[in-house]
Amino acid sequence: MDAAISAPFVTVRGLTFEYDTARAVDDVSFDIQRGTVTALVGPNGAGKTTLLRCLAGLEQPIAGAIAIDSVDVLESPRLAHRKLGFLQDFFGIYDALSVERNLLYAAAAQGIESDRLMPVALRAARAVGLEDRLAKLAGELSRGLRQRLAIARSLIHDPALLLLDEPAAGLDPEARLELSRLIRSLAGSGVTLIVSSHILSELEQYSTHMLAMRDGRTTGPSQIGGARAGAPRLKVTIGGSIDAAGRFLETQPGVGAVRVEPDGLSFDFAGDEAARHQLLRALMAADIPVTGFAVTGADLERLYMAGASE
Amino acid sequence: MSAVGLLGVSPELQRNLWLELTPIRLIAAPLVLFVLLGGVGSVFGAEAAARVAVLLLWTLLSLWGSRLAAESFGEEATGRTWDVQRLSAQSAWGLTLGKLIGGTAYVWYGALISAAILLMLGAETVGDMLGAATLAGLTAQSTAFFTVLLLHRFDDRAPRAHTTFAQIVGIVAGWNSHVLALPAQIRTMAGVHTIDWYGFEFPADSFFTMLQIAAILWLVFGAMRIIRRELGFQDGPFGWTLYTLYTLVMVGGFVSDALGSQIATGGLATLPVIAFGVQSLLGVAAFALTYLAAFGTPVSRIALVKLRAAAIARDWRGVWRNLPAWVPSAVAAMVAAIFLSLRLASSAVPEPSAATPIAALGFLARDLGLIVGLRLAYRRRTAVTLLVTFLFLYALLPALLARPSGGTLLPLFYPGRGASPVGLVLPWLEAFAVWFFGWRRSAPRGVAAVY
Repeated sequence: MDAAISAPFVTVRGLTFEYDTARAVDDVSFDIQRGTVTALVGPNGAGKTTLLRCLAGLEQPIAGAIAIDSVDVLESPRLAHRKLGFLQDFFGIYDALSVERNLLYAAAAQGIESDRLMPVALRAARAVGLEDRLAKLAGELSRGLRQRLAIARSLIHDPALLLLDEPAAGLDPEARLELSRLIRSLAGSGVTLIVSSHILSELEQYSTHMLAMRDGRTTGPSQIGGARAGAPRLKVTIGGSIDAAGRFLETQPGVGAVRVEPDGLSFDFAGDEAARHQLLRALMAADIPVTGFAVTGADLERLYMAGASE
Repeated sequence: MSAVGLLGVSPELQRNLWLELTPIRLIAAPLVLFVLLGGVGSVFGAEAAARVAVLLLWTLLSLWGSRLAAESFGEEATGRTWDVQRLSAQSAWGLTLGKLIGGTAYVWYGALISAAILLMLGAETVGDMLGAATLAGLTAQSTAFFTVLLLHRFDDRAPRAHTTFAQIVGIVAGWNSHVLALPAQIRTMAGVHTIDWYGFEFPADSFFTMLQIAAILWLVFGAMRIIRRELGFQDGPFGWTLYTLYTLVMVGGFVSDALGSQIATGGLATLPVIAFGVQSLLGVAAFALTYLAAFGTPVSRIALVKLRAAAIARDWRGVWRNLPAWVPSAVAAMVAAIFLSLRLASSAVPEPSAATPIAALGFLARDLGLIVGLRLAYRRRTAVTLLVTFLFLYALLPALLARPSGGTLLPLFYPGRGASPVGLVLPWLEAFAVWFFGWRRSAPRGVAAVY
């Protein structure tokens, strides 16, 4: 494998941050590989937002080192900013400007040349499905659409790393589904993502790794069942012989290691919705008594709870 | 230039122009101003209309302008778009000028219309009025902008209160520059109509106007330096060092016998403090700059930890990058105090003694220790804590103890004018105690910075 590809994309060593006298991040070290989606999970006040702000170079830690794609964030934050996009738990968009002007400004602020501003703004709008609302004022958009605009702004300079802090907060179920699709699509295009959230089941839909945080300390990142972004974990409950069903599943394309659980079988599945449909049809055709077939969040929860109990 | 073209040059300026110069506002301003001034002119005559136009100019540029200048940053902090700008590729100068010029564009548009009406009315001394209002507006706006940024450095949780406070500071600064009442009165009283600066004669009004323009430029430069720091640049107290040098060079021009004789021809020379002040202007300026920098910049625990680590590692670049802003001024104050002390030692004047500047330096060292220590110990309301502490030290305690002790305890609180060894030693003992015990109690420790 190419050494440049195998080298960690994000490296954090001994990161310590204090607000006044309270230590929010305590001697944190981890590596994140290129092209992964890392779920940053933990209870309120665990230090997730502070960690993301440190990664973005918005906060100066009291000690430690952070490198993004070999750029020292603390030494050269401006250089690091070219490589990252950061969507905080607020939108940070200009309500009194139209969608188009928000994106044009974002593109210009990122140093994109004048003759490319409009094409870049349009491309970003299309990427988040806002191309038909360009003239609309940002303040008149729904929360979900404002969220999309903020993501488009964060992506306008094609960052290789995207930091998302509680991106699903306050979104309705439909907007969350859209967000989930968007994150999977970004991961599919090679963007490395770190996503913080409380909602584990959502994170599981697109995360490949988990970094758990508690009281300013981290565990991980742990790989989530070897899953890749866009390859959710499936759970099949069986009315009859589990062993026979397990053997059959292992012969099917896209099915990863099958794990036997008390009430069924779980496995990673690399395939889209049509492939899932085909798998279900194959199970039925093989006369396997399937009583349940679902995408599950159990792996991330298990990892998180295991980390929490350590 | 098209909007997209200007975006390429200054995104922040174009964004502010989009927000400030909307078509409705562009139409509304001339309509309102013409109706108002036309109405006043038709009822009360052209002279009254001219007076109202001047008042409008001042209101627009100073009152509203300072608000808009403060809001150009305050609104970013409130709307939490400032972090987004910090992550952008915009330069510190681009953001500073984009906000200051773009954010106040509407009042300048209104001021231009008012000025045009004033010219049409043919008012006497219209040029002077326009110049004074413009200078006042620029002073008010740059002061408000600098102040709101400075306050943000101390506390980023109260942007709205900061905006209002910065506007008030801007209005006061603009008003002072507009009226120029105090300096003019002093000059008239002292009979000073020309200024001797490094042996060159300048008309007093032109000289002070130039100083005021320089002050505006320094405020804009200071604002840029704060924004630069916010953007993540760590290049030490470069800006304050430059300002210290500028002030000392500027003040140095007045340290001449010519100014002393000028004052002597007026009515102020009988005050010995003035005579001493002229002799030690550079020292006074360096002390004042040190206090200004110490009070005007927050104490960063992180910077102190890194400063210590860099000093231990003999990383001089790291030391410079994390140096508190007051250090260069304090060095200047130290040099000035020693120089002044040597000069006094060789002079025949009995008071002040050669020990006085060194004692003053001791009090400065003590006060710096107090400011750093109190800021580290108390996270909030440090301004009030510092105010109370210094009122206690410099006003209340001396007042309480002066009479019972017959003045013998005063060297504890002020640099004495006599040559008493007690007066020399006491302030340095106080400084040592403050730094030693204060540092032991409040110094950040436990974590070594990783480089």
